[in-house]
Amino acid sequence: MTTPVIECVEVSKAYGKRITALKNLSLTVAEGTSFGLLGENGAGKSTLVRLIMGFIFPTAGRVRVLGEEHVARAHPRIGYVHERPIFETRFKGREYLHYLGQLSGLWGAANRQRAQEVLELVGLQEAADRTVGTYSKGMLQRLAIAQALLTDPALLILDEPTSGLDPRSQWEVRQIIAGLRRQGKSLLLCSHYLAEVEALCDAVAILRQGELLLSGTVADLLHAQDVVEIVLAQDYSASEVAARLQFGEQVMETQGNVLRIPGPAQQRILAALVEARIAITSLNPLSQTLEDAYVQITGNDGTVTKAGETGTEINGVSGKGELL
Amino acid sequence: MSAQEISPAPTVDLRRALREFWHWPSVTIARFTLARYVRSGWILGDLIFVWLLYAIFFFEFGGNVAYFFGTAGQGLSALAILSAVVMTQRAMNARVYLPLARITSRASYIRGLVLATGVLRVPAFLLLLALAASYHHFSPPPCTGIGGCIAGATPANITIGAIGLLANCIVISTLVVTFSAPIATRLARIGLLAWVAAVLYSSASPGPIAAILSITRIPLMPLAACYNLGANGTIGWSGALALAIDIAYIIGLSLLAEYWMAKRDLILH
Repeated sequence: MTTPVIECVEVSKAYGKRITALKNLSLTVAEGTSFGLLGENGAGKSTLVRLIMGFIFPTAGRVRVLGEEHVARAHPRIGYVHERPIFETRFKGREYLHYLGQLSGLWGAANRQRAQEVLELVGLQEAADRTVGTYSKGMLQRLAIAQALLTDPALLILDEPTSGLDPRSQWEVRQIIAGLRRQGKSLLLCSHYLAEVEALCDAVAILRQGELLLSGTVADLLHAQDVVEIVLAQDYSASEVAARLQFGEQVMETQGNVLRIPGPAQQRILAALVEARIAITSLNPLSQTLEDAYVQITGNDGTVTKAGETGTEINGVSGKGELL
Repeated sequence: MSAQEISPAPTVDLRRALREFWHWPSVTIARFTLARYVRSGWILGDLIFVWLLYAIFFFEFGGNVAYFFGTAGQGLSALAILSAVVMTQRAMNARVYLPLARITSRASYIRGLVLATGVLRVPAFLLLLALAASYHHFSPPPCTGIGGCIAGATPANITIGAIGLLANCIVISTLVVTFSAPIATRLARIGLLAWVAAVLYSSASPGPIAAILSITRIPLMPLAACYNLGANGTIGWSGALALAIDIAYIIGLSLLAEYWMAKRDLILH
């Protein structure tokens, strides 16, 4: 069993008496996992990241990062990218990296060498001796990633690393993150871009109004939300067949001779169709994206569909925040 | 006894020790905070303030050493407040997240900030002294009176006075850091302002209420004693005690700031 790099146990965070940003959230991120944190604005993502970084403290519950309950003690082993570039604009990129390197215990030649390495890694070596104020947004974000990598951290926390970037810069930043993932780094990626999370993460958690709606591996989540299209022979009406065989709520949609059903119900419905000797022309699994799954989970109309509440068991995906 | 039997004297690798000190997180943060203050141009404000202080109070009228330290003390204390406010506000915004994400204790950041605001008092004083000295020659030998010298100024009492003045200015800059947002709560800042108001009222107004409120001036007695060091030219036991209390204030206020900072939720923009 791998060691968790992040453990949140029944964490709540309230700002004053009126605002509850997180409610009783439990979450575990295993070592070597690339973990995505999803949710709408105000869902509690930034609050959770700040808790994990130790910038704020939980009202209740416990946060443990890299085995440290006093989170700041783990800071030398964490690389952190803030949700927006927050650099000293009058300093050169290289100077700023030297400063942060010194705070991490890197001195002299070792500090200079490491700064050069991370600058090359993010492709900023040519702009390193320009003041940060002259950098584009994409360059600032690459500098943010460079500073996070200074100490070769065990855990990288990336808070919306591609937010506000042009498509080219987004692609470049994603390439860097993908490279880190391939190296087996533990990543916590907080993002609004579902395609980005789908491409870069092994597992995700979805937050909604301060609560953990769901967490699990991306593969399981997509599989759990799979839709299968069953095309019956021309002379069958899908709605009549569904009514006759009492599929009820298992059928998502009928259209002419086409039945659309959730992936997990596929085996049961197929067995019933075969038993009733209903001819099937074709069986088409409809590929889902994380975006489709997200919309289904959170509901088109903004209502929440919780796995546990619907009575549907979703393989590998828990509604209680456990990464299975 | 042969040379081989002589064990080498224990040596302190001073260079390494200095290098380690230079790279302490607090010292690194202080260096960076000062560099940011200089590059942002705010240092020009300090220079202009000191030059104005000299132009208004010392250009035409040299006065004696008590006048020099009395005026310089008040002027540089005001500058200590202004530059500490600016430096702290610039150091305690969202940019603090990146350095804080590297260090294992917020206390290092506070110590660095206190160090930076304190260290800046030294060049401000030296500049004022240099400006005053460049126009007025110090006495003795012969001081011809007002306008031509700082009467009674000797290297000894300038040094002693400088120690007292700088101690007071560093206490003030540390106080500003400690009671700045987001380190201190709003309630703590209101408490500080109430104390300052009570001190000013008790100093300026007659009557029984002012007499009762004069108790609020007791914490300022060591600072008053330090201001007098330059005029007296000697430290003495009372001056040494005042200096010790000033140092205790600086340490105590820094520890208070560290304690408050350690408990604060940092939501900065």
